[in-house]
Amino acid sequence: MRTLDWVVLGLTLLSIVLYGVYKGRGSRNIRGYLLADKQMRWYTVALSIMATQASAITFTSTPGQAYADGMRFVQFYFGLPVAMVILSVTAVPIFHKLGVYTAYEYLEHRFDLKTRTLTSIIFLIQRGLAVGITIYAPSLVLSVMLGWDIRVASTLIGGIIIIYTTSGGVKAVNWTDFQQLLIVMFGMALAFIMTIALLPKGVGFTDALHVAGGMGRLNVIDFSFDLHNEYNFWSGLVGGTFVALAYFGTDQSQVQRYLTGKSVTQSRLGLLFNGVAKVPMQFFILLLGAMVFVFYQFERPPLFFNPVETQRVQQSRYANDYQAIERRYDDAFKSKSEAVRHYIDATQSGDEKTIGDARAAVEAASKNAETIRAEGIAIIKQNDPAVEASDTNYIFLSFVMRYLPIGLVGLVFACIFAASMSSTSGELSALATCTIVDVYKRHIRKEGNEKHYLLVSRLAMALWGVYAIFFAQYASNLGSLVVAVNILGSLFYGTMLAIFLIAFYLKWIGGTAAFWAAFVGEAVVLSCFVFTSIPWLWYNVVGCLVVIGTALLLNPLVGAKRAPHPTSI
Amino acid sequence: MSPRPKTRSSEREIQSSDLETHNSELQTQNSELATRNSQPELESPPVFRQWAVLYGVVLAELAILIALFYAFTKAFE
Repeated sequence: MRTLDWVVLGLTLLSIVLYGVYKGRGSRNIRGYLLADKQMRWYTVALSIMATQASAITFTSTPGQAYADGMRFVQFYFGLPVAMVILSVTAVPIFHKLGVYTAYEYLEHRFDLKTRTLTSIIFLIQRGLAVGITIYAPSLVLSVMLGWDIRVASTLIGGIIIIYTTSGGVKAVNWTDFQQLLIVMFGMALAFIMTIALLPKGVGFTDALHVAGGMGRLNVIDFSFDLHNEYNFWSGLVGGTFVALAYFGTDQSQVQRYLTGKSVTQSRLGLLFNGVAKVPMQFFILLLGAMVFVFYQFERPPLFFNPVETQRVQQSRYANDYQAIERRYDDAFKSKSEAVRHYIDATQSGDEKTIGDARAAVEAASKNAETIRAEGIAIIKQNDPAVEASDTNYIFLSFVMRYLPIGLVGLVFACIFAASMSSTSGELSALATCTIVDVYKRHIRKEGNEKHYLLVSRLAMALWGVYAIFFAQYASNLGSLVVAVNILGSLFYGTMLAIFLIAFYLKWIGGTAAFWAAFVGEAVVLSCFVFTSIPWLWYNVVGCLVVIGTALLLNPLVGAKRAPHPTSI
Repeated sequence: MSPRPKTRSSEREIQSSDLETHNSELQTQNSELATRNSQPELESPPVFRQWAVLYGVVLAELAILIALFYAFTKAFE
């Protein structure tokens, strides 16, 4: 990074912090600190929801996902608009009517205290682990930029985020989310334009699409039903709906965003805007990754995108072996690049046979290059077996560092920091809210003044942040970050969703049946994770159905003792 | 020889007293919630007169996107 990049990065981050402090001023009580006094308009709610979900992980890992695996990951988001509609109809009016601080508070009124506490604890465990990955992502950026060890970087960046989040409050979180998402979209749009502009002379956008499509990177839709295929239309629509329902309906880090809405209308509009904008946004980010892939068909990519590990192997006893593979990779790249150019000419000719032959040549050249790359990665693993073989997270950042112009590099890094701050601050505030409202205020100290609870909330936020940093130390072994976060969520979301679905729709089922069914469901999901190869998107469906089924069976046995309901649903 | 019935009776009394306490706690919580509640506005959405129409628009957009993505996949396959 050059001086101008550092200036752009520094000024952008400074403006975010100052804006957050300015907008977040005046929170003197727990309602202001944790619910922003319920004064947010729909556009703030909408962008805050999107910013919290689209963390730095989205912008570092998703383009790499498209580079390595194509755009099929977008199907994962097909369930999201469906979930937004369902939640707008059901959860939003209920939560607003009850005036709850957390989604789990509602469960005590519907079921009992133990079910509320159990669900809240599941959230605290799951989100506490995920927030570690959210902190790890920008640390990855820093390590690439400065060549630092990723563990040192995660401790440093995590510490900075803790200071920022504890001083803010939900009002600051929401307003900075709003600003941050605008910055992020602006930066990513510029990066996209530059990527197209960087394509070699004579290769236009349409040619690039043909190359990406011909090499299997524009596989957006796959209607085939296959339980072992992670991303297809069906797993995206069914599994994705369950994931989105669970994430936006039962995860406090999202529920808290729309609880701050001024009214049911404002919260609903916030959710529905997310439903409209999320799929195109993900498509665009994945398309950026596909374009980076095309760019690297004409510009020689690194053999391995993680610069730190590449440097380590180059200085190890395997240096000569690795160098030999680099030379073979050079030749393979040249052949592949030539084959791709022939393929473009063929697509322009329109002759099916010529296109077919050219495509076969590209596939063969591509396979050869991939085989050599796999040999290179094997040497890196030989040098250090603990190294993560997947370099998906480094692909986009490596491209940004090497090819984007001065100033834009700083802006893209600012985007990644901004995205990380928005997610982490939202998650930490949600964790602190549950810790205080569902655990501390309900079980430990029921009578306390506002000043006390405000202080304890800030303390809880800081402690969760420290915990997240420790978890972040081990995140480098979790593979693709975006997938790791979603897998982690899927282990718990099905159970949480089932409890809420029972609460909303199966009114004859009592708290005890729901409580024990949750344990059974969680055991089944964890067994699926450990002992089966079922794709993770289906964990939510499995967990949800097992909990509901078990609760239906248990209910007549344990009795349907129910607390009086404060409102009709 | 009457301690048993007495015990049962006192158990029932204790249970009944627990339930009363529990109910009273819940009533207090409910009244707190009622105080916290702001009336949920049942406004119409902007532009459209009914929420159902807006929900339909969101789902229709999804269907259109899926159709476009399919066409996109096929066009560059």
